[in-house]
Amino acid sequence: MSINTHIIGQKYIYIDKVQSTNIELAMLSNHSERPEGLVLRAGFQTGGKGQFENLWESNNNENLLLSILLKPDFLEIDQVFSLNIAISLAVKDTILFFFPNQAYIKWSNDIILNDKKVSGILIENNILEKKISKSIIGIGLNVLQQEFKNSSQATSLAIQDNLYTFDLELVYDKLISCLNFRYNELRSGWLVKQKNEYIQSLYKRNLDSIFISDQNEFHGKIIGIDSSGRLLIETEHGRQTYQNGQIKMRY
Amino acid sequence: MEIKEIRELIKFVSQSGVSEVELEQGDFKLSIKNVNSNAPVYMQAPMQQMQAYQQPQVQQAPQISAPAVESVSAPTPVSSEGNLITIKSPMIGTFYRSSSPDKPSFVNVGDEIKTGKVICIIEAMKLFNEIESEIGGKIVKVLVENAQPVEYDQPLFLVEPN
Repeated sequence: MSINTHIIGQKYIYIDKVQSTNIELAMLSNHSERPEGLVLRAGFQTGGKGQFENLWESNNNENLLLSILLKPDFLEIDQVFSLNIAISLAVKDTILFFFPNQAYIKWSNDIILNDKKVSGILIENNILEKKISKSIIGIGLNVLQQEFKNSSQATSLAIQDNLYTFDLELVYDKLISCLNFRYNELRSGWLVKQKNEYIQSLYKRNLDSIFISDQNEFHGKIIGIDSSGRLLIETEHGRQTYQNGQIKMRY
Repeated sequence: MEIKEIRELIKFVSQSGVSEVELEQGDFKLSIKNVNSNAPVYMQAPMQQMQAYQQPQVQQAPQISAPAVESVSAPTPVSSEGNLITIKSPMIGTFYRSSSPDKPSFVNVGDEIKTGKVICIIEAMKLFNEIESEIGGKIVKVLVENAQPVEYDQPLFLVEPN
């Protein structure tokens, strides 16, 4: 067995305050060559990045805020969604360790615990000559925070189980070990296995749900994803395929 | 940070087997390298089935050093029209000219760009892909409006090569 199955977290940078761990790690890795698996963790983000203008809200030292540098140059460009699958599964695995049978992946990469969002993922790739030369994986995982002022849909591990005292470092260790496990699977080419697991883990899969697309509401059931990661929904007009941004689910 | 805390941290790093730790608190910076442990083995039952990987340290990101001429002749999403070169989309997604609505565009018409310069973002299923130019030259035309969907191989920019 290779010693290099533990790539993620071998090198670790902790900064007490940054604008955003993704921005900070992008700057560090643009400035000089940094090793794959480097983790940059922060105690606090002054401008945590969600997707585009969305902010990620987190109190000081209560949650995990980190970004990971990966160089998945073994993936073809049309396999880019498999990176999202591997990371989403790793975060879901972490939550499942503390909350068996209660965590799901809300397409495409939010992690849901008891119908609320407990973790968000932001993946930013650099593409050169049809290869992913660099990938920055941002993960926010709510652990100890008791209140979210700006989001009624957010939750934390501590909110979901107030009898258990969560240890931030223990959750960090678990997350890193889950990420290594899933990234190793991905490197070994287990893309189909991971895609099937991802589909099995989809929030509201096979349950009648209300969706909004182009200001129209309709009923349907999530049944899976296609090869490029688009969501497949069974509706009364048959099977429909949706890209991100085209559709919202009511929950 | 107290000396005692630093000592505990060093002890922790040497025991955890992590090879390098950097810490930053305001102006205070600390870097600890674990030279003895050559990356530890974490035994996890399911991992034992897996094959050994190459040294990840050896795998460097592809360096941007190919001259422009080579890029043009390579089977890449670039095609020549007269003396202008078309940069095409390497993937399906949504085309963005800047990293967020309040940020300036990565490139504008008239800009001189070098190989490896980020020219746009293509978002696909919430993955944000910064596309780097495979050629150096001057941006002559931007062929797609901001926030529009693009197809694989769809022309994005016209560039006058150096």
